[in-house]
Amino acid sequence: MRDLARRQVFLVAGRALLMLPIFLAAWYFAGTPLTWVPGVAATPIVRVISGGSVAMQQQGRDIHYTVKLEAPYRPGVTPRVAADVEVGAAKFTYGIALFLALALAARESRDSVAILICSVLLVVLPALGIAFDALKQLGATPGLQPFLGWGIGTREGVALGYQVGTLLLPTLGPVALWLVLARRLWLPEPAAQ
Amino acid sequence: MRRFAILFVVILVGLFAFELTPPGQALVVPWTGLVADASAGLIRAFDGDAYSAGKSLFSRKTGFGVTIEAGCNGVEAMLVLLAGILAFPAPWKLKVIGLAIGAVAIQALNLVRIVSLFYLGQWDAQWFEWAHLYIWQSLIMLDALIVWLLWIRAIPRPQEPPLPHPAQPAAAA
Repeated sequence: MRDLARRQVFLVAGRALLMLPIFLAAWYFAGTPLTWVPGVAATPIVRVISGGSVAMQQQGRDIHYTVKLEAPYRPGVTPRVAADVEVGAAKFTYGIALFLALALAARESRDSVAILICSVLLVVLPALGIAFDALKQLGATPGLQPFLGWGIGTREGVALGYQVGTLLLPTLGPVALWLVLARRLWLPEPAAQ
Repeated sequence: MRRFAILFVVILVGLFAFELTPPGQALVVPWTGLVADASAGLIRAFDGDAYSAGKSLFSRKTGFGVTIEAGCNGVEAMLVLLAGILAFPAPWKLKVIGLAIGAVAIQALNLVRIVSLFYLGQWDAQWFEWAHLYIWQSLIMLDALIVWLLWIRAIPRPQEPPLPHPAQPAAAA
């Protein structure tokens, strides 16, 4: 029984490995919309945390944000500054290829509606990584700190958000969604008496 | 599943936050140096052309070098596996065994990743970038997933509570 279960895991993994290059190629050619959607979705996150006004522009698989910031008001003068940051979006968006490879590899997760819903989620999810990458760059730009006015908590939060958004979400997001779809594959069933 | 998901997220965020702290970095930085040493040793065993310095790996012949940064030392995949194993209800002995086997599986594949990237980088920068940013990231997470699924399949299934016998009289309140 255990050998059968193990074999099933290896079969799913093997099929996913075979399909991954195909879906990575498809992801590569669908680069423009897969960059634009999370780029737009990341804009309000950058706006709220930076406290400035944000304009987004897409150039291929890169996203440019122009962030206009104001320092706190002082009588007679309101210092303003504009900062440009560029985020390579591809390193956040490729997870959809991993998800589709896994979803089609296991019989338990082959539900077209659920796959579609998860795919939409995975198109938007990279917004977090993109936003925190932009915010990390803003925080690291010399001279911007008085305009950003971030305390230690915000700076640490941005650092953690960047780590999670860059190192975890691109691969853990698709795997987590697949595990929800394929829960029959791993959730323990009680043994019969 | 909800309890597992909540526990998993809480443990994972806690581990990630710890990784960023000075005590966490005091563990991660030397570990990354060890990964670089092991990668250089593995390459030397085959063609004798690599040496490591800190967390970097260099080729003597070409001068090419790669630096092992966060995300390439296998630590994040191990943290994901650790959170997945800790959050799942299982006997502690099985958790420790799962973690030990998982750590070896992840780090072994990570060595293959670093060595392959070291050679790919000397051959073609574009292929290096593809393999580095997209392919190997997916493969390492798949590795952690396979270990976790195999570990779950090795856990004894919970026993169903016995059904009351129809002829059995009800217990008095």
